[in-house]
Amino acid sequence: MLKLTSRCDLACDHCYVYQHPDQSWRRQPRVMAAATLRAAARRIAEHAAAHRLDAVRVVLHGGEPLLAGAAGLAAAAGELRRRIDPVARLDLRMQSNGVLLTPRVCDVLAAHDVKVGISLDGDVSANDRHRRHANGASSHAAVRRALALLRRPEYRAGYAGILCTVDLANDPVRVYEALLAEEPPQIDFLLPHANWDRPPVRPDGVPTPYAAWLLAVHRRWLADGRPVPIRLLESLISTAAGGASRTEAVGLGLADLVVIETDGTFEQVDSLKSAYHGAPATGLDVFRHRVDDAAAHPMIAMRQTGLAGLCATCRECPVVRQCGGGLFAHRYRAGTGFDNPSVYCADLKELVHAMVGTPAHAPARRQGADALSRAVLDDLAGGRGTEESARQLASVHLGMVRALLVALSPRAADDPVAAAGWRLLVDLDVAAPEAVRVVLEHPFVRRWAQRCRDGVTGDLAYLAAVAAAAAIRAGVGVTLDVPVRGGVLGLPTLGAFDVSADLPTARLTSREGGFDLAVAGRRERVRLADPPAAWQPARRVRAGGRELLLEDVDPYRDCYHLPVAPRLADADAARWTEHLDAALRRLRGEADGGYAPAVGALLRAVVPLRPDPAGRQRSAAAGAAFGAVAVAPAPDDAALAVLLVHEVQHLKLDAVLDVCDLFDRADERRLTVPWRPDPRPVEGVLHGTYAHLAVADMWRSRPGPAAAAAYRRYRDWTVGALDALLGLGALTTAGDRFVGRMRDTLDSWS
Amino acid sequence: MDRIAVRPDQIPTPPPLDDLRHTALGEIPLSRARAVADAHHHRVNRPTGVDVQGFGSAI
Ligand code: SF4
Ligand code: SF4
Repeated sequence: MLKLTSRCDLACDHCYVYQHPDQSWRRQPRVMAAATLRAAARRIAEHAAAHRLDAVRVVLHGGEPLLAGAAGLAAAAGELRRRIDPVARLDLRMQSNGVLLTPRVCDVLAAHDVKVGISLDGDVSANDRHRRHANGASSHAAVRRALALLRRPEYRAGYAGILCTVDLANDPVRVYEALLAEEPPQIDFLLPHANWDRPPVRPDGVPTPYAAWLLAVHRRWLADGRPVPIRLLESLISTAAGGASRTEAVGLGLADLVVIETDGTFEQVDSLKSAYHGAPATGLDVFRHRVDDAAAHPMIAMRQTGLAGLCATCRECPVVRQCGGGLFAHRYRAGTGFDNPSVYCADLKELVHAMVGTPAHAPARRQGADALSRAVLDDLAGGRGTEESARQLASVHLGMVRALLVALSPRAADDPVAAAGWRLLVDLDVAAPEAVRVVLEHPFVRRWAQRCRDGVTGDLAYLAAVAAAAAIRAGVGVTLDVPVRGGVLGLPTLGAFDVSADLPTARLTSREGGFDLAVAGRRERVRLADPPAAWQPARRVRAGGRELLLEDVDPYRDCYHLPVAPRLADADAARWTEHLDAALRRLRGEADGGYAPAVGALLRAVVPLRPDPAGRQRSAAAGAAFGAVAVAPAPDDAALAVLLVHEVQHLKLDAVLDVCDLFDRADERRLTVPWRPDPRPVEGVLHGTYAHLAVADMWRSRPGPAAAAAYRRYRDWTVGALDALLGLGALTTAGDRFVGRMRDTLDSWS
Repeated sequence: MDRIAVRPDQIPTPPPLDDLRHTALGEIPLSRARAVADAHHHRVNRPTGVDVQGFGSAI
C-alpha cells in the first residue's frame, strides 16, 4: 500500500487516518516525492524478483491519492509499471473517495491499467452521516458523479468496486440498495474502526448489532440472487466451507501487507492508526531497508504465523478457522496490546454461525425477501406494469393480511368469540387453504384487521365471522358464535344476514352450501343457492370477462371519507354491472391495453358511492383496503374507465409502499402541487403523480380536442410534480429510480 | 477485488413475504408477523401518511 498523498479533501469523522490516535500524518509530506517513489518502486521490484513472485499488488492510497493530480498519478503509475512489470505481474489499484475523479484522471488510470475502488457509505443521508467536506458539505453528489464516470464503457474496466463503512444508524437494506444501484463489480463492507479501549457503538440490549446489520444485507443479497460479490460475506461463506478468505477482516490468511508512507517509511497496516499514536511505526524506510526487513519486523512477522499468532481465547475458539480473530486493529487493548480477541468477537461468532448452510457458490434456493425485486419495481415504475408484477402485489397483500391476523391472535385469546374463530381459521388454513385464501384476500378483511391493530375498532370478534365465511366456502361443518352488529351478521365475501334482533352474537353452524343460524331461540336455515329474504348475498358479477364483487353489504366498506351507497336495488346493480363491463372492456383497447393486466389482476371489489350532490365525478381508494375501489356513478364508460385506472394506480403504489421504502419517512416537508390548493406530503405527491401519469396515458390514446386538452393537463401536472420530487432530496435510492422511470415514461411521449 | 463475479442465477425472485403465504397461520412465528405488521402500522399511521386517495377532491 503506497501512500501517495498524506492529506485528504474530505474530513470524514470516522476516518482512521485523521480522526484517530495516531497523528503521524502531520509530519508527512503532502505528496510522495519523485525520489521516494523511485526508491519504493525499486524495493517492490527487488522483493518480487528475490521471491520469484508471480504477481504483486500495489494499492495507491492516501489520504486521498487523487490529490496527486492527473500528472502525479501518471508519474507514479508509470514509475511502478516501469520497475515492476519486467519482474512480476503488477496488479495496480487505487482506493479513493472519488470526489476529484475527472475524465482526464480516468484516462490516466485507463492508460496505466489502474483499477479504482471508491468509498461510499450508502444513499445521501447514510453517506453524509460521516463522509463530508471539512465545511460540512455533502460529498454524495460528487461521489456519484465519479461512479457514473467509472460506469462509462471506456472506463468500466477500471471500476474495482465500492467500499462501505457500516453504521448502525443506517438502514442496512437501503444502504445495500444504494450501493447496488451504482452497479459496482464488487462491494466490501468495513466494520467501523474500534478496539477494546474505544469499543464500537452498541445500542442497549442488542448483543450483536453489527452481525444483525450485516445479516440483513446478507438476506436481501441472497434473495436478490447475489447480484454482486460482497467480499466480507463471500469470505465468511467461503471460510465456513473450509475455503480461503479474500479479506484480512476474517479468516486465518497470512498478513502480506506492508504500507509505504508518503515519506518512504515502512509501516504496518494503516488501520492500526486507530489503536494508539505510533502504533503502525516500524522505524524502517525504503531508502535504507528492503521489504524483507519490514516483513521481519516482529509485529508483521507475528501476523504471518496464522493460528499461532492469535490470543489464547481465539486459539481455542471453535470458529477460529472462519473468523481468524477478526481484523488485527480491532484486537487492541492498552496493556495486552493485540493479544486479544476482536472487539467485534460476539458479532463475528454470530456471523460465522449464520453462514452455515449458505451455499458456497450459487444459491440453491432463494429465500423470501421483504421487498420487490428491482425488475418488478422498474416495471411498475413505468406506470403500466405487467400482469406478473400485479400478481406480486396481490401476493404482498395476502402476506400482509396473514401477518396482521397472526399479530392480532394473542389479543384474540382474551375474547372467547374471537378465540374460537382464530382456532377455526388456523385449522381451516391447513384443511381448506383455498377457502381461507379467498376470504383473506377480500379487501375489507385487511381493512378490518388493520383497524383492529391500530385500536380504531375493538371488533376482534369479527375474526369469527372471517373464519365462518371460510368454513362455509369450504363446506366444512362447524358450530361457532359469530358477532352481530346493529342487528346484522356480516360474512366477508358471502353477504349479510339481517337477524332483526339486538344481540351481540348468533350461533352459526356451517354446512355444505350454506349455514344454520340460531338467534334468540329462532332457527334460520340459509341455503346460498336459494336464500331467505333476510339474507343479502354479496353481489358477484361478471364484468370485463371476470368475476368482481359489487360490494354493497360489507360492514367495513365504509372507509373512504365519502358516503357509500346503501344496498342497491337489483335494477341498479344490473346497471352498475353493465357499466363496469363496458369500462373494463374498453381498457383493453386504450393506452395499448397497458392498464388492463393490472386492473384485471388487482381489482376484486367495486364499492358504489352515493352520487356527488354537485355532480362531480368521485372515486377513491383506501390504504389497507387493497383490491377495492369506490366510485360514484360516472357519466359514461369512458369516464368510469379513467376512474378505475386512476384508483388501481393508488392500489398498486400502496402495495409497493407496503414493502419498499421509496422515500424518507422522517421527512415531513410538503410540496405544492398543481392539482390541490394545500401542500402535500411526499407520499401524497407520489400517489398523485403515479395516478395522474396513468390518467394522462389514457387521455393520450383518445381522439378529439377535449381528450388532447385533458392529456396535456394531466401530463403537465405530473411533470411538474415529478421534478419537484426529484429535486427535494427526500427519496431513497429506490424511490429516485422509481420516480426517474416515471419521468422517462413522460419523456417518451414527447 | 480479485474474483470473477458470481453470475446471478436466472430464477425469478419470488414475491415478497412469500414465507407468510406458505407457512400455515398456526406456524407463522409471532415475531415475524409482528415485524411485518408493525412496519405497515408505522407506514400508514404517521402524520404525513395518506390513508384515502380520491379523484377530484382528495388526492
Ligand atoms: S475520504 Fe478517506 S482518507 Fe479522506 S477523510 Fe474520508 S475516510 Fe479519510
Ligand atoms: S475473535 Fe472471537 S470469534 Fe473470532 S476467533 Fe477470536 S474468539 Fe473466536
